[in-house]
Amino acid sequence: MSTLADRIRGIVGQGTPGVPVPAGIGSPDREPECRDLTPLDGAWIDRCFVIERRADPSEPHGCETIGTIADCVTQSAGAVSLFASAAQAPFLFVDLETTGLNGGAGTHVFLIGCGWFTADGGFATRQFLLTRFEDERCLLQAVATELERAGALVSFNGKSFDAPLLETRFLFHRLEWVGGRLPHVDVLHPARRFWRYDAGRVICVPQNAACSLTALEHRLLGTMRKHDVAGIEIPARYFRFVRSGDAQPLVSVLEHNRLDLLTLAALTSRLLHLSQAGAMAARSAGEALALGHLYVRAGYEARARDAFMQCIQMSRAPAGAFEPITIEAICALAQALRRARRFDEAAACWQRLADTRGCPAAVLREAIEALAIHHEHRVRDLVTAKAFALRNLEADRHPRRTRAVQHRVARLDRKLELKNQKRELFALLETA
Amino acid sequence: MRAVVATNALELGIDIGSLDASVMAGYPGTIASTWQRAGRAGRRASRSAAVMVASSAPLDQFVVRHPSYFFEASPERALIDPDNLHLLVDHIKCAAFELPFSAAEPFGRHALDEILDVLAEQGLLYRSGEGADARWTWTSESYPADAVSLRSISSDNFVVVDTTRETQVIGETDFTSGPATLHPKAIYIVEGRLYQVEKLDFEGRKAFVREIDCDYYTDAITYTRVTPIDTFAADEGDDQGRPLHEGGDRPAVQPAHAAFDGGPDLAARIVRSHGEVHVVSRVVGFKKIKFYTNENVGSGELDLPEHQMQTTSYWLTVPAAVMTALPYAADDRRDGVVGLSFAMRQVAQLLLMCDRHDIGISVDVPETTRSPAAADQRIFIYDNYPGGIGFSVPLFQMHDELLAKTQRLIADCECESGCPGCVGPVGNTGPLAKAAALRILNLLLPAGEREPAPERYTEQQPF
Repeated sequence: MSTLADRIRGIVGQGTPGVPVPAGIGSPDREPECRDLTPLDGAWIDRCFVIERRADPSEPHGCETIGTIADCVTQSAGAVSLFASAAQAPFLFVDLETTGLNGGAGTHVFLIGCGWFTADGGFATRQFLLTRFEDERCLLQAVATELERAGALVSFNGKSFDAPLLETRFLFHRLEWVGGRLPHVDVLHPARRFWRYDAGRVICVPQNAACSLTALEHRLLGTMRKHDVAGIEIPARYFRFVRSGDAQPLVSVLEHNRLDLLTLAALTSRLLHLSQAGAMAARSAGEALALGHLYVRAGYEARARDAFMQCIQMSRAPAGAFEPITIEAICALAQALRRARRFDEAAACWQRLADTRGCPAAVLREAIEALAIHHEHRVRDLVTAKAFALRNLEADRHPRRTRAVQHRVARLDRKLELKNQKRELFALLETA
Repeated sequence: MRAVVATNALELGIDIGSLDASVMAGYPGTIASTWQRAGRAGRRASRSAAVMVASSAPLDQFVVRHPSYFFEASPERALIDPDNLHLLVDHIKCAAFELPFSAAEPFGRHALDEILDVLAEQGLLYRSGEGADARWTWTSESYPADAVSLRSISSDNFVVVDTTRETQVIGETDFTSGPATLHPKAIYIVEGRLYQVEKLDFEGRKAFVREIDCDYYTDAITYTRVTPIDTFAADEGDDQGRPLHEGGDRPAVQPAHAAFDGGPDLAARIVRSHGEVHVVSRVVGFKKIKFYTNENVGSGELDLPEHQMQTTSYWLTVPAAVMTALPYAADDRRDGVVGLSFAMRQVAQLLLMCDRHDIGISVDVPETTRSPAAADQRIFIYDNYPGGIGFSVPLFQMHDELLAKTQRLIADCECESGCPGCVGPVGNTGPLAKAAALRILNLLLPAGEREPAPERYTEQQPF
């Protein structure tokens, strides 16, 4: 008869085929006698192990220096309200490292990285490391104090990942989650809007790596990381530290987290600068287009129109050729002009769309519809209006939309007939 | 809408208000399912009817012959054993992921700290602190709930690949029932379409099938050897269930039922037991069974790897004295035991309210005896899941009822010498199987319960 332990071993081993037992495991687990934290170069503050670093203003990050990045943030801080209404300086950049990437109640946050720009234009980071599971409550309390001094939290994908995860940990310890009352700017979403296009083509679709933090860092800031640890490796490194007490595997994790914070700060700086300076500061058509949309949402119509025009200019697509970014910009500009009651200019935009080869069906339908309306109500050229309406009727077979167009055509016919009757009446009167 | 034809997908929770009658093709297998399906009709104030058309399957025949089983019994208990080690370990993993375990926390019947320490040793948990301060924290990147299947104990399975036109996966089967349902030439049924298995890739856990048109299905012939590892309780069956180890290894011999056809000492032997067993099974062949009539229309041989598991089982011991008291030749006596096991399976399924595949049956002769006819014969009814899911204790407790109802099933059956409704078709067992099985039961059952067909069952008219 086998012992209980042997039977469980049989079950556990059988249940997870292909999963090798992590290195350093085999003997019954016991807490390591001592933890050697010296490689991390940190310090104990109360019962929390904290690693502090400072990057000088003169230090480069990509093609710019930390000082330049910091200046941009200082000068453009006011523009943050375009991204989160209640947000204000000082900004605290936050990035977590966790024991699992899928989330769920059992995922621990083992490293909470915080970063901020200092008064002299440098970048400071403070990383809170969970060295023992028992110290979590202490750690969270220290983190809460740190977060509270911020005017806004800034993260990359933090609204969906970091914040809910931290909130769960606070809840487990029956602590209030301070993040709940702080404004939160999640840079992922504006980043996707601003840097979705590359050379006029959409390269970022959701779930695509092209808008990940490191991809953006490479594309926009021109940095290349050396010896960076892959995100997927991080949980295993932490578990190795927990079991062996050797902090060496965490050194590169701390550096990875610090660089993430720095890049997050640099991207934020770029976003704030762009929004403050307007479309003239855009480096690409994509940036100008995203700025336009941002201004529309905030109600800055004039700035939005400028941004769309800037985008059309920058895209430099040959007239009449199909390019998604130009089409999107012309369409947005036409809508903006119509809102400003500049109907003729709007009609010119719609006309340009209608003449573009390969224009997507939905956009084309909207343009022709707008042109039909324009000719019926503004220009009062019923024949042209009817021609546009019929063009849509030919192209589109969707019953619901077809009914609306048929309705329009019928009304135009009635109007045309009325006009003809009037004309005949006038002719009669003249002859009489 | 005039009618709806449905599978058991419409059994629960779907309200089609205008239905007046429900017709069930065959007994659904459980009392609860039968009521649920009957309840699809008459969901408004008007009268409704439910009709069950029994197939020739033994269980169906039993239910229509003994309608009181259905009308008088309460719907089944849902049996699950939370202390099944396979289930428990998975639950502990999920629990530890949610919240670390601390020392002195109870969770199940087994020694929790021992389980936690094994999980720690495997790198899934990390133990910090000693003694009362010990804490076990989840330290694996995997999400343990992902590996827990709601339908079966092991997450290992076979996939069924259709190669008729383009290759596509059309189903999956849990690992345990794979060899019996997906062996080469097996008929596999999905959504009313018939497929024949052309190749079973055992290592790759894949079965390649092709659509086929035929009028039979297959039933695997599984050779099973059951060896008891640990007997938890055993006695002569008085509905009490005295633990075996209380009074030494062998229970005291008690002549419980005095006046007895074959002599008073025949029943004075262990009759019912339950405990842990080792099951080795191998699919050695298959039968072709014709649809609707359940006729046996052919067979084939197979060579497939063995499957081993440890599970729990109830077993009936037919004492050697009872065997020798039978007025039949050795082969016919043996047929009697096989026929009895066939009938017991149907009744056990009914008593446990479980699916046919939830239990396995095996007839066995202890290896130490040279002359099989003169030896104790054992009929094992085991939980067909690794670790067991808790059928053996209730069966042990219902031992007398199990035997009495089996006797009624066989005695009430109108066939002459065995059919799929009682001891199995004559082709399966010998011509004397039915008579021998009844004789064995008469010898085992106390005098008061031996009368065939008590009146409460004959009063009821089948539907």
